[in-house]
Amino acid sequence: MGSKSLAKTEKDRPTPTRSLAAVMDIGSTFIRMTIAEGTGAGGFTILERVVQSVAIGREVVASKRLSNATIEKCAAILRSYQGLLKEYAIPAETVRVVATAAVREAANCDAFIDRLSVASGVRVSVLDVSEVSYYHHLALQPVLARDKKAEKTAYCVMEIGGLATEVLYLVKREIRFAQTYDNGSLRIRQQLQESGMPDRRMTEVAGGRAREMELNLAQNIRDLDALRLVLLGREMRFAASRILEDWSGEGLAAVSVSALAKLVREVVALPLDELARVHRLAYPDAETLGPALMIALRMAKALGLKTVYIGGMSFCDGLVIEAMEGLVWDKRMSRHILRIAQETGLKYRHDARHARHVAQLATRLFDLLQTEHRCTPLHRLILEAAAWLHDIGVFINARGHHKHSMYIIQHTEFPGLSARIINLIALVARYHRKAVPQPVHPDYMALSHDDRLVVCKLAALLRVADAFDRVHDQSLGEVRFDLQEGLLTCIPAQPVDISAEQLALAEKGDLFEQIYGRRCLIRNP
Amino acid sequence: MKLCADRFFNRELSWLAFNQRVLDEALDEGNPLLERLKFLAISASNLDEFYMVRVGGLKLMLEEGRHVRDESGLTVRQQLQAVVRRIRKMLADQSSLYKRLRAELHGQGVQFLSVAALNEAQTRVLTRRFEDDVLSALTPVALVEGRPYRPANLLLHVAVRLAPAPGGEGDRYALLPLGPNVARFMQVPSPEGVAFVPVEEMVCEWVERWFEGCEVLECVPFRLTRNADIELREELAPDLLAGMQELLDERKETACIRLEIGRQASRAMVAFLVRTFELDRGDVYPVNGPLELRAFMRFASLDGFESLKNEPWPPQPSPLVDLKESIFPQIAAQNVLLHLPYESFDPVVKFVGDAAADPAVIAVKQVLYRTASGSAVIDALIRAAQSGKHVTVLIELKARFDEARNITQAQRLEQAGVEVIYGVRNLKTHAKVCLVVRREPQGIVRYVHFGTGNYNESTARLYSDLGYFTCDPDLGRDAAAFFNAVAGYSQPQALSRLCMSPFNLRETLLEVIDAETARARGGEKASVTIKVNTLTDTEMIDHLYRASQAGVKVQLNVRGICCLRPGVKGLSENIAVVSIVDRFLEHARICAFHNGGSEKIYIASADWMPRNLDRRVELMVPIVDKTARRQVSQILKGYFRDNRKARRLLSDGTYVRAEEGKSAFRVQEELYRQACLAARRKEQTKPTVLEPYRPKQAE
Repeated sequence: MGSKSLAKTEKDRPTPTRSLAAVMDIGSTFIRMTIAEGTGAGGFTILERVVQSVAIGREVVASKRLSNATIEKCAAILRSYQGLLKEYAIPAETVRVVATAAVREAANCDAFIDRLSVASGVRVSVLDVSEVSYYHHLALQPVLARDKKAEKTAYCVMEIGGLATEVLYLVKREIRFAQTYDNGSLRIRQQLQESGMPDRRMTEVAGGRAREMELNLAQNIRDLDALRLVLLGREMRFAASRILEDWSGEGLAAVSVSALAKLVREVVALPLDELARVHRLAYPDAETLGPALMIALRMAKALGLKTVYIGGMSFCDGLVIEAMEGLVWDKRMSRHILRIAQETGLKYRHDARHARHVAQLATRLFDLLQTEHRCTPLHRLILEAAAWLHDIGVFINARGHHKHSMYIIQHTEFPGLSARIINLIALVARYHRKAVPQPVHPDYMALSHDDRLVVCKLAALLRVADAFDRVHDQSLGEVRFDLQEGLLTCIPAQPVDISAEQLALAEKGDLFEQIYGRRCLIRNP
Repeated sequence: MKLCADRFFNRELSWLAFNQRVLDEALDEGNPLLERLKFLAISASNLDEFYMVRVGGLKLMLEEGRHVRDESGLTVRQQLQAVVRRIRKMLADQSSLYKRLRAELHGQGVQFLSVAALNEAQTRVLTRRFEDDVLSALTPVALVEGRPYRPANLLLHVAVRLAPAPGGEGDRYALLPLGPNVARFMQVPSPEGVAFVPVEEMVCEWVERWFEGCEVLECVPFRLTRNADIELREELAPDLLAGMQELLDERKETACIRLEIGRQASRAMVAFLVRTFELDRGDVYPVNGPLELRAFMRFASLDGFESLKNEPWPPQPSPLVDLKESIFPQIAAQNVLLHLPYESFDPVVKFVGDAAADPAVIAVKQVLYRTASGSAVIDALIRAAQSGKHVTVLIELKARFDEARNITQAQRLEQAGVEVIYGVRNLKTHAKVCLVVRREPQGIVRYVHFGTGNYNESTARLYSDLGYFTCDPDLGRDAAAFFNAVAGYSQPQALSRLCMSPFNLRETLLEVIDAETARARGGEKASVTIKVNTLTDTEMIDHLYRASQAGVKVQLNVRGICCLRPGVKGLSENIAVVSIVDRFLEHARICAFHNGGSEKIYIASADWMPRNLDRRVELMVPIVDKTARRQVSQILKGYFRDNRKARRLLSDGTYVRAEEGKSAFRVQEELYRQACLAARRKEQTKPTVLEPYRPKQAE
């Protein structure tokens, strides 16, 4: 797994050059490059979109490793793309190059990335599943913004890749749920080949693999009456171009499930060679077409839909939007992550009022001590998300709930956040009570030195903020802080009983004192 | 409805019928004499190429034992027999026509003389030219067993039979290759006009000068044709450039398949040459007159005999392009349709030239198939690269008979820093497209020129073609995707407007034809109007037959080969085929479909042949712009009104001249008249302002 420090992640994102941006995406069956030009107000037009087939997914599914031949082919493709970059005078080092599930799963992922860096001069970031979801979401935003009904519609967005299927559930254009399922078109293809089954038995294979998805979606997706299933990806674009006479690739095109079913029947009835010949597809595209369409059809039926919507956009468009707008950790992103944190809190039935209060206090302290901790807006977001989620472990057991919180957060998807950042949220939440970070804690020790410092700085604030609402009744009300040499004093607006909070501070103020060199007190005005 | 089995004409015989139409223009006494001579030369040149490639191909098939039948039902042997029979007749017709033309030209002051017919002064001049220019320039080659000599393809030679050496047995043989270092015709003074002596006559007259001390028994001109139906096996040639160079060398040594020799040659001479060059007796073509009639092409531009030539039709300036202004704002203001050679090729050269000079241009991409020598387009591409622009040129090294020139041009471009692509593996890139990417205040804008003909300034004065300049974003995006595909940056992607073979060009055409068929079946008006150079693709033809059966009005203007049999009841009675051979070579490919009243019009680089639709990279461009669409539609209609130069194809495969109606209509003449009118109107609308030159002000 490629771990990225915050600084590196931010540096990875290109500075827009004269409103041109380029992104490259190393997928399971192709390497794609998009060059776009900003048109102002966040819009952009695609200048070039080039794509070349690779067998990354197929190799990873078969042997978990990428062969030298494939690695060299990928390097050659990236080098060839530089010809186009040169044409538009886009420096190669400003290009965002990302890899997704297939590369992520390769046992020699790091060697692959290193080889590409040496052979083609580009630095590849391996996106976590959450980041991919986030870019899907971002790519959809321009379309949803134009749809007047978007605010009242729930969208289940699905991209069926070679190795995995990404699902996003959006309500009011915000992500409510995101999940990646280990169910991709190449995996189905491999299962068919290994068992020697013909394509017409794909329904059974795809059905078996899709069952988990169906159950999970049924649990998580509400608002079925107003639900739209949005299908993304090359195979879906192929379906739209075959089913709809004048499909332009713009917006979301409605396709009837019966038409999709008919196409699936036609596709799986043809041997692969014939399929490639008849539809003039590259062989790798022909291989994934049937399985991907089958999964999509299966999901549409499971959700009881008569119509699905196919979008011409891809998560690459999200990368372009980010590169165009210089979006890194802006308000939209923060709002987005916090929305997921809140949804997750509700899911685990936390005390939402307490969580909100602690989050407010923690972020006030963060802002107050900015000159001392010198952390970034992303760290503020980590703290706020951890504050919202610090008690969710109670859902499992109140005893040791800080550790349960950590575990739940570590396994929750935050589209747009890397696994490293999610882990930081989890650890900050974990240290909201009981022991402070210690060298005997394996999760803590697995962090880089810088990240350990971040956890300490943020956990110190969260412990204090949590102490200020010990009895979960927000009895202190509006407080003000008095910051002096060696001392931070919290003063409620009105005189109240502060005995419980004082006791809590005595238990939990230790880390704050260690990190910030100040004792923390609470006194009535 | 079923389609009958004998619905296709044989393509080779159809081609020969086309060449006969060219020869008919030479026979047509309504044409000026030197134009007739030119048509004769063209028909001879065409026949040379046909023999090298098509007859060569049939011979190879026969050798390989491929006993397939063509779509018309003929075996290879039957085709070969029919073709050879037709060629012999054509050669005889050409020779007798030459004699008639020579006599008529003689009366008009253009004389082609034998040495015997020269007067004293002329003989003196010719003798001097022989001594100065010929004697030392030619080297005889003795033909000796064990020392093989390989005569160059189509090069005129003189074969010499010498008496046996003292004490030797049997005649001796030698050759004199009349290479490019000697002129084909020697001019001698003539009080009546101009006079020329063919070089082979001069060589035969004084042949003893090369063989001092030998007795010359016989001297006769001849020419060998080699099989040119060889192509590079790309799977065995990792380096295309080196592979093509090897192919050019190989072509010099392919089997000899034809011997053309002066009729006066003795049996012994013919037998010797047949044996030496491993020919069959059936490959011998005795010629009653000069060989290599294509060499007479040069007299079409003979100075001082304007009455023997067509009235000049100089290309007119396009009324839509002001050559003094940058071309890009002009294209941005309106799409520009260019009709060559009625209109000048200058805007195309200017397009590339402006791209080279314009600092806002960031990239230029172009496909070159056949280029002119000293090409201004290539010079402009080199300038563009030298001025720091990203220039990509796909120059098709596999363009038959232009390989050597294209290799040279490719090397020039490479040296100038152009990104050169030699072509695409297993496909010939025949599309005519040039893309200029320009950075403008509102963003990147792509300007594109699509054409039906080559970027070749020489042929642009002779071939009738269409060009279309546009900055339509969809077409620009498609053009960029096209170049990304041929440059190997990307696998081919779905194009929004352009159709590209071998991917969707055929499918698109079939879809639109079938749509017309469906309309006709539904009782709606339906029509298909096509202008191509060649129609051989049986799938396309069958769809046209079905359209005809459904009642679609199908009009075809096919200049050359047409395998479709028109006018057969129950099959093709709604199909009419005309062919036009006139002073300009018809070369544009246009398709129009009624489409329920909203006419669909395309221009294309592709003929309707399997090779173009399946084995070449071609483009077909929809003309959406209303004005341009109307223009193309009018042009197309004209071809079916012509009753001067049009020949109608009958169901038996013969062509007859279209009947002249009340008023004569010659489409090329009309198109030229329209071009002149448009240019004149444009000139008239120009404000009369004097443009004084002023001293340049200091900055």
